[in-house]
Amino acid sequence: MGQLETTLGGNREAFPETVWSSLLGAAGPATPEREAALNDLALVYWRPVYKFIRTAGKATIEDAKDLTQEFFGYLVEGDVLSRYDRTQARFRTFLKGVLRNFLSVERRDAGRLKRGGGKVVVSLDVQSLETAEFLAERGRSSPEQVFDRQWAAEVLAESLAELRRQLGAEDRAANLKVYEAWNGIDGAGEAPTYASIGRAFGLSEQQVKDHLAYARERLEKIIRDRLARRVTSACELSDEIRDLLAG
Amino acid sequence: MGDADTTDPGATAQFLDRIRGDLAASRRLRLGALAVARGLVTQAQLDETPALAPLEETLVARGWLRPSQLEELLEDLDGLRRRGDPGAPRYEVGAKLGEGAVSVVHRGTDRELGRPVALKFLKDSLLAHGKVRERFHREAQSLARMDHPHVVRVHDVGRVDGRLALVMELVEGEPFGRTARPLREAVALLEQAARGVHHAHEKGVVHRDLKPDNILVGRDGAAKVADFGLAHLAESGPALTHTGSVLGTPMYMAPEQVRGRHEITPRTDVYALGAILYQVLTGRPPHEAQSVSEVYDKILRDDPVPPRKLVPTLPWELDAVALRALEKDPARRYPSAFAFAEELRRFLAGEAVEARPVSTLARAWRRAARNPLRIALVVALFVAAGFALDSRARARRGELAARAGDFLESARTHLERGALDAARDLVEQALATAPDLPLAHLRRGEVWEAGGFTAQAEACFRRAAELDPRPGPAHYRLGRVLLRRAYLASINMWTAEDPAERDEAERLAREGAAHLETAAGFEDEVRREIAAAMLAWLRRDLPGARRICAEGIRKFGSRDGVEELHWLDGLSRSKPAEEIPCYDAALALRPRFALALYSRAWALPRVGKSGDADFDAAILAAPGFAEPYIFRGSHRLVKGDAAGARADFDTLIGMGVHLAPAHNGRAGVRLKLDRDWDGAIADATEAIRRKPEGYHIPWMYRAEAKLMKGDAEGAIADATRALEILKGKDGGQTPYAIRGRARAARGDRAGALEDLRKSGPAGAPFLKELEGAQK
Repeated sequence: MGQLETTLGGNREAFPETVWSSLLGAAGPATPEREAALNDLALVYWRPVYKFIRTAGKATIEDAKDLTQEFFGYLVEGDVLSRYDRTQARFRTFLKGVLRNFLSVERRDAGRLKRGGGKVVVSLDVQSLETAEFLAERGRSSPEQVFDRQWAAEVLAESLAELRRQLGAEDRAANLKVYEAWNGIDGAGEAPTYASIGRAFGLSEQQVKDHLAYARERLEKIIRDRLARRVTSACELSDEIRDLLAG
Repeated sequence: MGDADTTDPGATAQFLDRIRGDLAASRRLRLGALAVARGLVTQAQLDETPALAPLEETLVARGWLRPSQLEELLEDLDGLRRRGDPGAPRYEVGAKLGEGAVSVVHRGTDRELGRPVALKFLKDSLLAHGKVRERFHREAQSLARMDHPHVVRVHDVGRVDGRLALVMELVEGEPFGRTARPLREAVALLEQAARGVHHAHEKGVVHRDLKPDNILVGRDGAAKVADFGLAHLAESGPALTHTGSVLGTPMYMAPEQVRGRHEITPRTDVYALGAILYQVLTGRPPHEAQSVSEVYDKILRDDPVPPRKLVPTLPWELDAVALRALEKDPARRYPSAFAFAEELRRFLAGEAVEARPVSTLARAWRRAARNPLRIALVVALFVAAGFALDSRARARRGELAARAGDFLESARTHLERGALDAARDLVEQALATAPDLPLAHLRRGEVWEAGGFTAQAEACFRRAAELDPRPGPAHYRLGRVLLRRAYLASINMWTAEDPAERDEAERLAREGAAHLETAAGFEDEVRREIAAAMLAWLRRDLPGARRICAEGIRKFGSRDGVEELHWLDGLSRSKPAEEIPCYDAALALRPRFALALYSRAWALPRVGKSGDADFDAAILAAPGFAEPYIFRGSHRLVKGDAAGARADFDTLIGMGVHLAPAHNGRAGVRLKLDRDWDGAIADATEAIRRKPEGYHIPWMYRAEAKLMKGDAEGAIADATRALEILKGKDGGQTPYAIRGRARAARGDRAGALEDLRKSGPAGAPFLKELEGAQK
């Protein structure tokens, strides 16, 4: 990574303030902005963090839930976020490092007092995460990989939901259906073609291609906007998009 | 972000993966198109980027883009898009650039990619015909598949301003022949055009209307062939062909084209290329007359005046090349535009061309052949001279060779692209036509070699060199394959222990050197440098090899083949830290260069890094390349990956190569990971059978397996054999430990103690136990 950042990271001063700006400054009093920023951070990252914890050690589901809560408390109460240097690493990379470190310290102080309880308002419904796929994935992948995949899935899923909402509101449901059909698999278990989709929806192949191009473009824009709110530089944005799509 | 917590029922992991793959693919395409549109990379460069690596990284890693350029590109990729106005037309129509018989061309702008384009509108009179419209679409699709630096690219076909149009690359420049140029420059441009024409032939498109006006010379000085398939299109229109006016000048038309269109083949375009060359040489087309029908007549009947009769100062080579391309019988012409281009290249490079001046006698024969009434007479004359049978047999052989030549040329282009299966099919077809054609065996060997199947390749090169013992590429290839074997033998660990194999490596090196010497002085200059560097390396003149490599690299930059110089440069260095950058440079030029990957995989561990990824990549690049499997299997064995290690050794056993190390490796897996003693003994026995001398590891494995089974006697015998092979060299600790334990099991306490004391950490726990029991 890093190549773009180290060579270009410094010259993007004008990048807009992001949702998390108030978190990334020096530790300060618990202002409402800070609280809101932490909530946003937790919304995006609690599932990746939870999965990381479940993959990194032998934490039970309940332990992992507690540790996840505590981790976000630790983030907001300590001055750890103020140590983030955007010229050195991406925020996501930084966060994984902090989490690793947090877990090793937590394990050492197994009997420590719980911190940060109640600060995080996300309710941790982990049932949907504890799937057979996840259990298999845990055996194969490092916690960092699991974390990144969950993050990508998160961003994609919420962007897709937004795409559905927007296209629905604009009366472009056909666009969406074509796009979903293209990325789905038909009943016969075969990968769809322009022709097969055209037949199913009564469209010409060119129309199918146009629909797909339009939906992709909208989805990309949504993804970009979402990511842009939570990164600190344009190059970080480019890198995040690249990572997200790299699978 | 309020909806982030609600689980989306449609968003299963699988579905998300597909969406992600789809987005990534489309983004990659757009990024590539944008980079090409900006002139930052060529389409050809883009095509050779590995599909699995992120395009951004490849572009920067190859040095094609600076990181800052990539950054700009990525921002534009997002910024240039038709934000908020998806309904706006994609193409903006600008000024008219020109008008032909069939079409009108306008300058235009592609708003989506922010690049200038040429928009070619078919004339309305043609569009009235449904058949033409349908054909237009079909042709456009085949044109869009063409992708070559010397073919005007067709990006798209569709409606622009409600009219059917081809969206093409905009070439800023002028048609070939508008400006007088020095001869060599004109010939070089025609060579480029011929390569473009050949590319089209490979895609199944014959131009049919090649003429100087259809070859555009861009401001960058490159020739690009335009208007493929449009002649075809016009012919499908209503009664246009026969007037002759629609197709413009018939000056460059081949005889078979004049006669009727069913005989049209790529050689028809070869004729037109010859006609254009003729015009370059003499300033006029090969056949001129007052009326179209008169021109047709001449094309069918007259031989063109040899260019040297008109311009005596011309090099005879160009004269011969033009006349060969202008042969009336397509079978006598160059078999392809590629062969024609190669001739021009050879002329420009100062090499010998294949075309020969045609003798007066031969001319007489051919004129007669066109006139059946005179054939009998001429044949009679030749029979009297004892010529006829011989010359006919030769003609027949020549025809077959020409047909095989077509297959082989096509195979070569497939080979260059890495499409090995297609290349192999074509080579086999050529061999079916001409089983003794040296070139066919050479090419067959090249296909094997590209897949890493060295032994098969070697046999083919030997056959080719036997069939044609003159200096040439077969010797070069054979020398190279032998060098490769010598190199692999020199770093293989199971060879180092065995003097017999070391001698074999020496023998290979000597034989390789002899072939390289025979080959010297052929082909292009890059190959000559490679051969020279290899010779130096084979003779262990490492400073000499380095010097030759450095010079070649300086002289040839990134020309095809220079990656081998980088690789040889690396081989000729003794410090891994110096080797690695050489391999990096080689791999930057050809990422799937299996030998360089393999060499780097060997060098990396010596600077404390892992070479595993390179072994993997080498296997991917050349699945028939056996050595990397051995080392990957061994690494996997050490890491405890039983399934992976077994798969690698099984692959080798299935390939039937390197069976000793393969069975040995599988014995290791069975012994260390599976604890399958009988299996380990079977495999170790097989490895020993194949290589009884100089290789101690299978003896050691078998000793340990026998010990575990309780066969102490057998274990002692095998461990003793392993120690004999080692002759006191490193690696004896484990055999000593095994023999010590076996002796202890048999009650030979003194012998056991003696062995275990020599066994280091491998036998330490047993030694302690034994000494404890003694007390």
